[in-house]
Amino acid sequence: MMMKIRNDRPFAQALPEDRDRLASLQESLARCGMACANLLQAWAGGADGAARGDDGAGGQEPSGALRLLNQSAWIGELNLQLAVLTAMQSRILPRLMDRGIDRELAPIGERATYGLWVGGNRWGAALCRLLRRLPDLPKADPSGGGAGRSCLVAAMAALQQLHELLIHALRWRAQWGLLDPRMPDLPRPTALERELAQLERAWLAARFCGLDERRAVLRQIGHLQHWLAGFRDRRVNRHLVVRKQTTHPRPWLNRMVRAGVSG
Amino acid sequence: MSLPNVPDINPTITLTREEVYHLLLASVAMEELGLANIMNAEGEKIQKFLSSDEVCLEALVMIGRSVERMMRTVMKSQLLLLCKLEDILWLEEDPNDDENSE
Repeated sequence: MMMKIRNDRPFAQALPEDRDRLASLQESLARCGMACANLLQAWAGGADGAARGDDGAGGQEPSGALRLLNQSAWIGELNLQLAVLTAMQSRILPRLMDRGIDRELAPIGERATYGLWVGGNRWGAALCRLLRRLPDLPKADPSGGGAGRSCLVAAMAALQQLHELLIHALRWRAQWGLLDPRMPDLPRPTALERELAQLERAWLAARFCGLDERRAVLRQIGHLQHWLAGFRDRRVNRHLVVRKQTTHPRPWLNRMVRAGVSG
Repeated sequence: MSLPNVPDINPTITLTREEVYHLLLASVAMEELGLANIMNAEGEKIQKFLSSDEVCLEALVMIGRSVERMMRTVMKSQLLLLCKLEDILWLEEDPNDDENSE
């Protein structure tokens, strides 16, 4: 079910005597974030369905997963858009904080924040399922290393985009947390953590291209796992304290990579 | 050489600086809302497609291409809106400050 993003307040509040015009702008930015979340969740649903189809017998070939992955490159544009939205919010936040949170604004911000985080996690889980199919592609196409290399590049890019997307969602939470300190914590990304663990195992078992290239993807997975582990800490959840993450016992480098797993 | 003269038009603007500031902020808010509606429509398109019986990879890839084009356009507009907002926020400051500092 789509969230309603219609907002008539800017029209009503465009009147010169309006004293809360920045709040209406902030509301529009929140609704833009909600639309981003809607789009992300819808796309994640489609990709998830395609990935699950791959898992079943007689499903699509691994090359389908690679095509879908390449077609998901617009997540980069979405990231840029979220960066612009958070930049706009940071310009008006100091002014809004002086006057306190608008009662109508708080639930809208909460829904946008929650939607972005959940949408990002859902896309992450679907992405992991798609990426699990990629190591099978070179087996299906033994003609050369070209397919393997394009898999590696697509996997690296998609994982980095996912990480960036989750950082944006958390940054969004931090910004709205300034306006509304009572905003609830974001849910723990357990499904994504589980999918990442499975993806790690699949890529550790992969045998194609060079060892260094595979390690690069595994390192990216480990980096994401470490970042999510840091998210378990409530202070990171609420205030984006990056320093705390570096003290987390789990190493950012994949354990097997550190141990020098053989190719 | 004189400037061209347009007859029968009286372009007198009666808005104050404060009113202009409010209206410009509202225009950014409305443009943002327009972009949100465009993105939301794209999301609804995907949902509609997924709810149909014939969901194939080829169609999903085509939808992905459409989303990519739309996102690129929306992102460009967002960048312009950020620049516009920054300029509007400058307006909030007292214009006399610049004159006094010179």
